[in-house]
Amino acid sequence: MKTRAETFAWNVKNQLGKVHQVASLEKVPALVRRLAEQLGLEPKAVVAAASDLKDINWKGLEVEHRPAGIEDVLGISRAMAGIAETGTLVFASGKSNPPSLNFIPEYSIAIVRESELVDTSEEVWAILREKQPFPATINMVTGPSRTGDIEQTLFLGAHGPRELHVVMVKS
Amino acid sequence: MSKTPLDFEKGAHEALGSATLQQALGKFQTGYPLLRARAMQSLPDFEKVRTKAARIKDFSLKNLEQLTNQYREKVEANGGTVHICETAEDARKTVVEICRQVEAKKITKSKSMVTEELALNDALEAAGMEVLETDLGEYIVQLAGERPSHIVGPALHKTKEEVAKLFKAHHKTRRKRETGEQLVREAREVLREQYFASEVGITGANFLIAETGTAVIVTNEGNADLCRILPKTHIVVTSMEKVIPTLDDLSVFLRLLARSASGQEMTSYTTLVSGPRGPGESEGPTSFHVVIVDGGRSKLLGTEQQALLRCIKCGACMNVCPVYMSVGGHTYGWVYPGPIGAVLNPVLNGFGTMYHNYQASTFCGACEEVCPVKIPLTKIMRDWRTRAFQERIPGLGARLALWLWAAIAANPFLYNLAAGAGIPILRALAGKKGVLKSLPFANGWMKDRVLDAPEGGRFVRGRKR
Amino acid sequence: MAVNKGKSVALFATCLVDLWRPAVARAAERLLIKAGFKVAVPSGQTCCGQVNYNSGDQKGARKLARRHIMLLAPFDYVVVPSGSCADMIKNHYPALFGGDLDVQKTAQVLSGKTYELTEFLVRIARWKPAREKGAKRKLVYHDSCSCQRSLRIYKEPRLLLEAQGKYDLQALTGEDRCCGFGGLFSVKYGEVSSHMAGKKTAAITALEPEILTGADLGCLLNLSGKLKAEGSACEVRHIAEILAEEEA
Repeated sequence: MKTRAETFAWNVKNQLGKVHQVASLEKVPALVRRLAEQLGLEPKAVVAAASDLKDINWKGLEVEHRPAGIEDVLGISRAMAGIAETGTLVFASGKSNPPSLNFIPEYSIAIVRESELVDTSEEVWAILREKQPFPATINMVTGPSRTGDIEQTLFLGAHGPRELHVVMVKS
Repeated sequence: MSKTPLDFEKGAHEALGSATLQQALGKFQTGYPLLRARAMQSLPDFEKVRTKAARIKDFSLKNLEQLTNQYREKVEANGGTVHICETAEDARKTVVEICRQVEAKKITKSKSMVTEELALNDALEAAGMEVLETDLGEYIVQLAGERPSHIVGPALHKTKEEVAKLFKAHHKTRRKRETGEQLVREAREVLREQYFASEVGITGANFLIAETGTAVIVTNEGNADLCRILPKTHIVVTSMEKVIPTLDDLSVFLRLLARSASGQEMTSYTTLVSGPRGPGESEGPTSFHVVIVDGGRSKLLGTEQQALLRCIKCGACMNVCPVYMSVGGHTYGWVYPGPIGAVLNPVLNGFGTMYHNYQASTFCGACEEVCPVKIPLTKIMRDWRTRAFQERIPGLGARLALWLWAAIAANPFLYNLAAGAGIPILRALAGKKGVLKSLPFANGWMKDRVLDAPEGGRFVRGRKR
Repeated sequence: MAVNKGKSVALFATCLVDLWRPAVARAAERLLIKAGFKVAVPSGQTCCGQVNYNSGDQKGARKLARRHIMLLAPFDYVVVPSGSCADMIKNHYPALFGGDLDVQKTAQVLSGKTYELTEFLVRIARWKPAREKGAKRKLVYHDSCSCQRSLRIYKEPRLLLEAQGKYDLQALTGEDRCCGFGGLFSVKYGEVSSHMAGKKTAAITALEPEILTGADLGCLLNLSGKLKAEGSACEVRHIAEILAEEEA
């Protein structure tokens, strides 16, 4: 039997997402720097203003906590949950979590804690029902943006990100 | 409404003669079943789940008024507005009016078959607004001045070279257009700026959830999300049968939709929108409208054919339909192609005009086997044939021939007499080879095909009991 | 076989078999007799009404259905060498008489005892053809849509053909796909129908079989006509004829 985290990771990969596992949030900046280097990107990102992301030291990276604009290439967002059944990330819109982070930058990094993983979408609804008011926009993201509209061939990065990196945080 | 059937044979003839279309359909016909089968491996109890989905839809349709009211109240509490429109005309006027009020010049739009049904783009353009389709397939079809040929893959019928030509003509820039990758990239770059420049974003919705006042929008490209987030006004245009009771019901449909539509476990983006941007949010629309269209659907409520409103527009029925896979989507002549179009188009656009939609089927039943909400498609097609026969839509000749057949076959004396005369004639016509190459009243059969003549004699006649 | 002895079977030949290929019905009759049944061929049987039913002519269909319900009801079993006509009697006759409870009741009982030929031989008669020796001939079996989807018959004809041991049964690509016959469809939408048949014959010809067989004469006439137009020499025969064949 796979653990929930293993199932989640397996499904993210199955949906063409990339999975990274880190021990704690403090390890995220180094991972992002490495990724940026590998992808040939400048070491800068737009980052969700979630409190735990604001608190960490982003040394070596130029980060701004704001919605994404047309020039932004790397976005870092904070999921409220991950669904193991399908490898889906769930984002609830709010002051600190602008949805554009998941759609405008060409490269998307999403952070979720392993403790935030659930088995099915039904469990997410239970969490959401507790939220008042109900979020105006909830984005369920499963893998990168894709299209099959040209000769039924799969291409990534249609309008949204061409790469989705999911960072699973252990603690 | 016109009673003259739209020409199906002509469209079919052209489609069958198009090598590129046949190639695309051929690729799809082999590719889709494999993808679907793979995705279904992780849903071994498909039968149980689809039965559940059908029940949820039946319950929703039975309680549609109450659920719609609940949906509306929730959206209004969230700060949005719901417009319920009885006719396509009402819906067009409503959307145009909302766009006028916000002084929209440019509208970005994500794929919605209901807006195709409304011919909404024409209405918006007539009101002086520019409308841009953003789903890649839909964008290609828009540039070509055509209609979608498939409800999930609108540009299924286009080759890469045709797309390259369209982009060259419309984008007027010099760039490499050799690979699919380059074309996808180009569309992304061209459309990207348009989202930021548009005042209104229009999307469809796959489901409306009464519990929370939520519209659910499913895409793979992420274009609907950009239409949602960036313009100041978001209009959801959808049809009345999309309402379901709760978020948990949504989970059931999400397990079925992508698997049935494209052979994915889940599409990339499933977005739940419940109103304008929330308090303190720095992005998202400040004004949010939902336009719910009846368009003739309510005529089905409470009837024997109500089940066809269970449809979640996944397209699985056309993906396995041998007729669709031969003639493509445009031959159907209206918005919805394939088996679902065959039963839905007549309701929305007239039983006379859409006559061939429900006639051109072999009743092979492949569609019913994959339908994720168990719509009895062949039964409803037959029901529509019965209705058409009662309304005398088939020509007098066809009706007379059927009457004559029943009269002869109900009378063994006449039957034997007719057979006794007919069989030798056919055998004589067929000659030594025993093959008929033409036959009055049955020349349709003879298209690149012959007919074996009767072998002679009878089995039933003249036997002892 | 003892259980079968003396039970009466009405053979409903179907109009297409009776008029076009009476040999198929004769073969079916031989098979049923071999399986130990008392076979009756009720005279006055004609067409089950499917053509009218599928064309929306309910009145005509009811007229023919009523006639055959009365004709076939007295027997222990009704056997039909055609999936689509068996399906008509089994699954559609009862629905035709919603307003007429007496006829509907009889139709319902008839539905329960009506079988397609191969289904009957395997499931009810538990009969198998005698094994024959000799070189195996390449054969393709075509599943009609009525058999495979409405009646859920798939294994049965294959079991019978394999038991006979004379044929090398080929696996057909796209075997679940319609051949394009569809009754009047093949005449009204001839070009589409012929195109669909062409996809089927392409898959068949690729296997280079000597024989094509199936349980529905409509499909077989369609495919035979297409194969001949394409110049194929593949022999097309109904499964009843194949099974009833004995070594000379």
